Order: sequence, then structure tokens, then C-alpha cells
Amino acid sequence: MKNPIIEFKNFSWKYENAQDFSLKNINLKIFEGDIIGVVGANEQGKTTLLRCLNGLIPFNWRGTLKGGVRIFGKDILQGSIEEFSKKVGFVFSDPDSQFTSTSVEEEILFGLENLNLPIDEIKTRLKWAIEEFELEGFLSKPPYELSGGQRQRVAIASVVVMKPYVLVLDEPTSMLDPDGKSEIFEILKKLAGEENLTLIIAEHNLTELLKIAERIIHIDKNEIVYDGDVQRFVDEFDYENLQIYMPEVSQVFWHLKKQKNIPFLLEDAVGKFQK
Amino acid sequence: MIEVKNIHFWYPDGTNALCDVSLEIQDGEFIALIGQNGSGKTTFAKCIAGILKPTKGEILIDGKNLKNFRRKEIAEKIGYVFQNPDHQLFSNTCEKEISSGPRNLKLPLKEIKRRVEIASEIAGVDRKLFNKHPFFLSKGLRQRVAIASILSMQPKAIIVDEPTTGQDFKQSISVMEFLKKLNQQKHTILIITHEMHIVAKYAKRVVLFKDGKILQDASTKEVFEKRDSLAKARVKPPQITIFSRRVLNKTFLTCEEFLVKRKLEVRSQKLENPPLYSPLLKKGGNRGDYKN
Ligand SMILES: Nc1ncnc2c1ncn2[C@@H]1O[C@H](COP(=O)(O)OP(=O)(O)OP(=O)(O)O)[C@@H](O)[C@H]1O
Ligand SMILES: Nc1ncnc2c1ncn2[C@@H]1O[C@H](COP(=O)(O)OP(=O)(O)OP(=O)(O)O)[C@@H](O)[C@H]1O
Ligand SMILES: [Mg+2]
Ligand SMILES: [Mg+2]
Repeated sequence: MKNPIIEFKNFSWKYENAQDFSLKNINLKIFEGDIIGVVGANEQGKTTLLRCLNGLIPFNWRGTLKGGVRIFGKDILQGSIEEFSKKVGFVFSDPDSQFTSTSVEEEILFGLENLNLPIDEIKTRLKWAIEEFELEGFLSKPPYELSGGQRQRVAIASVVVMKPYVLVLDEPTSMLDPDGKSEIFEILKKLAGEENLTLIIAEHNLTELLKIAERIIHIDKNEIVYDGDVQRFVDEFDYENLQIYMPEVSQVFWHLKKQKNIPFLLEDAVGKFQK
Repeated sequence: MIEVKNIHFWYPDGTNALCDVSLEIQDGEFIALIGQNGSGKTTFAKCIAGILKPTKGEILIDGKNLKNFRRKEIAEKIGYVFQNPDHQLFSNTCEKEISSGPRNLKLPLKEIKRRVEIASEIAGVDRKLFNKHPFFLSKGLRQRVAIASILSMQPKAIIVDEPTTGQDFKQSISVMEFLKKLNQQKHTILIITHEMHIVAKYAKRVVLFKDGKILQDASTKEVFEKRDSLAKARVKPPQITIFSRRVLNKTFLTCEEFLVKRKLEVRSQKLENPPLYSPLLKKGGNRGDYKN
């Protein structure tokens, strides 16, 4: 069997000033090429889990750690954010907290220059990012003079352009317009296929997420309550409670008393309904 | 009433964010502003809230030009909750935050206290949080504090920029139900959002922005029926609307509507009629036009 690239063993985490543990007894293996959707209601521990994937926890946040995490074989406590960040890229849920430059172009170049790439490669990637993320119109603008959604696009582009082995994205499309959301997920999926990227995405929008996710981790009350394939997640979901907004076609099929193989993609649903 | 007449807006760097926009908003409406990223929704909202001044054109509130209002007077007419509430929260306790507007108005202490209590009550901010720093609250609560601090000015119209972004479904519904309640109490509500199922469930009128202009302004159903103008503005209708068009050739806006209407159809065809239980249906929602 393949070795996991990231592994949690009996891991728990409590923030310094918090009453309770924000993550409890996490056991998790992430493999190369995984496309994982991390879902759950507010405040259940999604962001906290993601922060452990590149060392933000325990190095940027103080608290109590139990058990262990290994990132590319290295114990998290033996490494550093700088080291892990070379392999694991992180897109924050609030783009504003990520910006360091005074223009969009610099923002994209900043990470690339730190990778010590040849100048031609930097140019090629910059051009790629501008086209793929449609940044042409505002390259010279400061990020804080963009609209909310435009900022989010820049934040994603500036991390994706570095093509790390693992990409961690925390609610990456929350402020994007409907077509923009679809496009970003398509870009991610394409990259995952071409570059064998590993993707871990926390997202409230399941309609888009389920188009690309191959594995779902559901976090509830600071624990992993589900870790497995998408179909079983959709079938076993608690629709009466609807804490998470499931794709509308899934909701409708569940209400129509369809219990197994509930569709979650539009095309599938159309096919199944006509039958 | 809010009358926007041919406004244009240029940011100092030359970006033309609004181009000849006109709109009339009656008291008590519930409107959603939707459209592509960068199409001018936030800029427009900030103009009517008096935070930005249109470069050209004018805005009348109850017949009076916005230019002739003092800052404090505007706050009693229109409140704007920022796209990122963190850009709006600046006090070190929730109580100070919520009372800051009335304190600026130099209202008597007793009145300030009363307003803070009413606003917190409506927005669902518990008194236990009054002495806490907004920074340490969850997103959902920070947004409630931001809304409460607007409500304490008792504005007639309230604009909330992306009220459900980053919220789970329960939180989203709870914010929206609370805006709906304010609307029933005759407040004018404007929301800006990219979540079309929220628009479908709550808005009665939709204004579609594209490139700093209004591309369409009609009832929610009409707007979601026009696939071509939506596509131009990079917006998709809710998934259930696309689905119902494809399989039944009808435009249904919400899952509730789909289920109820389909049930009626099945019944009228005297086919077998499975008992339908739905927590969605119990809560009401957009069922205004079920009878036909
Ligand atoms: N810096 C912090 N200090 C103390 N407690 C924190 C901190 N960050 C998060 N928490 C707490 O940890 C728990 C999990 O929070 P987390 O941000 O991981 O949730 P989430 O699932 O990402 O929620 P959301 O959907 O709202 O982003 C919550 O109870 C939260 O209040
Ligand atoms: N402070 C600023 N300085 C210069 N240009 C700006 C500024 N703020 C916004 N813009 C530009 O004005 C245009 C309209 O932005 P606005 O924020 O109104 O869009 P929006 O419709 O709210 O978008 P979103 O859905 O992404 O929030 C965009 O092209 C944006 O880049
Ligand atoms: Mg989070
Ligand atoms: Mg905006």
C-alpha cells in the first residue's frame, strides 16, 4: 500500500485561550493525488484541521497538542512553517489576511521569486496565472482596491501559481460570482490531473465541491464523523437537519424517497429523474 | 423612497465603477443586488448609504438630495453592513460597538441604553457578549454585532453586503429570517449576494449588475427565467431552477416549490401519492404563489 503524505495519529488540539479542544482524537491519512472536501457547520474545526497541514498550528497559534502529525514523513514538531510551506500551499478564507504586496502583479510574483525558479519559468507561470485567473485588467492595482471577489481570485492565483505538491484551500470561492466559483473548481481539477496535485478544500458550497471531490471529510463537534467516498456521504447525510446546504438535486431526490445512489450532479439527476 | 438618478462613479485611480445607474426603491421592498465580481454592487450600495459620493448624478431620499443630509441624518435613513464586517467593527467591546451610532448622535444615556437593548435583541446578540471583544467572536456573531450597530440607529432601509458568505445553512437561514422579520416591520431591505438559493427564497425583486450598469431589474422569477442575460452577467440560477426547466419545463425557484408543485401535479393526475414529509416545507419560505 502507498504511504500517506500526511498522517494524523490520535491528534487533539486546544487553542491557548479556548475552553475546549477544537479538534479531538483525529486519525487521518492523506495520500498523494487525493481530492478531499472538508465539510461541516460553522465552528466545528475545519479551519483548525487545515492549519495543521502546513504547521500554522502549532507554530503560529499557541495551544495544547496531543498525539502527532507527520507531514511528508516529518514530525510536525520537528519542522517549521517555512519548511512545510515549500510543499504545502495555503489559501486563507479571508484574502485580506494573505496580501503582502502593493500590486496584484507583485503579489503573484512574490511567492514565485521565493522558489528560486529560472526567470523564464517565472515569466511563463505569471502569464499562465494572468490568463487562467483573468487578472489582466487589474495587474497594477493594489489588492485592497479590488472588489471582494477580485481579491479572492488574486489570493488563490498567488498560491496556485507556485504549484505546490499539496494545496490547502479554506473556503476559496465564498465571495466569487456563480460562474467564477465553477471556473476555480475546474482549474483546480485540471491542475490536480495534470500535476498530480493533492487538494484539500474546506467549502460550504457543496454543489461546486462535489463536482470535483473524490473523498469527503465531515467534521462535527470537533471530530471527524465521516471520512469516505462522496456517494455514501450523500446517501447517509441527515437531510432533516440540513446543517450543510446539499446540492438541491440531492435534497429533492431525498424528499422523493430515493434512499440510495442519490444524485448530486445536475446531469445525473436529470438522467435519473427521466427514468 | 430612494431615487437614484443617473449616477456615475469613478475611483481616484480612474476605475469607472458605475456608469449611468438609475433605480427607484419603494419603502418596504426586499431587493437582491446580484452580478459578476467587480460589477459595482458594493460601490452602488456605498453610494446610497452616503459612504461614497457619486461623481455625477444624484440620489434622493424621501425627496431630499443626499448631498444636503448631514452624516448623522443619513444613518437614520440608511444603514450599510460591510461585505467584511471586520472592516466595520472598531470598538473593543460589543456594547461600545452597538452604541457607537447613538453616542455620536449625543442621545440621552437612557435612550442609548434602550436602543442598544432593542437592537441587540432583534439581532440576536446576547447580553453576555456585551463586554467581549468582537474580534474573539465567531463570524456569525461578528456579523450580528455589525448588524446590531446599524440597527441602533433605527434606519428605515438596511443594506447588507453578502450576509451569508461563510455561514453554514442554519446560520444563513437565521440571518435571512431576521432580515425578513425586519422587512415585515416595514424596513426596506437590500441584500448583495452570490448565493442564488438565498435570492430565490427571500428576494421579491432582483437587480442584475454588469460592468457598472443595471442589466435587468424585475421580479425574482422573471430574472431567473432569462437565462441569456444571466449568462451575460456570469450568474447562474439556482440548481433546482435549471433542473426543473430541464425535467418539467417549468421554472421553480426553490426545492420547496418544486416538491409542492410536483406533488399537486401527481395528485391531479390521480397517480399514487407518496406522503411527503419535509422540514423545509414546515418552515414556510417562498410559497406565495402555490395556489395556481
Ligand atoms: N485562534 C483561536 N483561539 C481560540 N479558539 C479558536 C481559535 N480559532 C478557532 N477557535 C475555536 O475552535 C473551534 C473550531 O473553529 P474553526 O475555525 O476551526 O471552525 P470552522 O469549522 O472552520 O468554522 P467556519 O465554518 O465558521 O469557518 C471553534 O469553537 C472556534 O471558536
Ligand atoms: N478602492 C477602490 N479603488 C479603485 N477601484 C476600486 C476600489 N474598490 C473597488 N474598485 C473597483 O471598482 C469596480 C467595482 O467594485 P465593487 O466592489 O463595487 O464590485 P462588486 O460588484 O461589489 O464585486 P464583488 O462581487 O466582487 O464584491 C471593480 O472593478 C473594482 O476593482
Ligand atoms: Mg473556517
Ligand atoms: Mg462587493
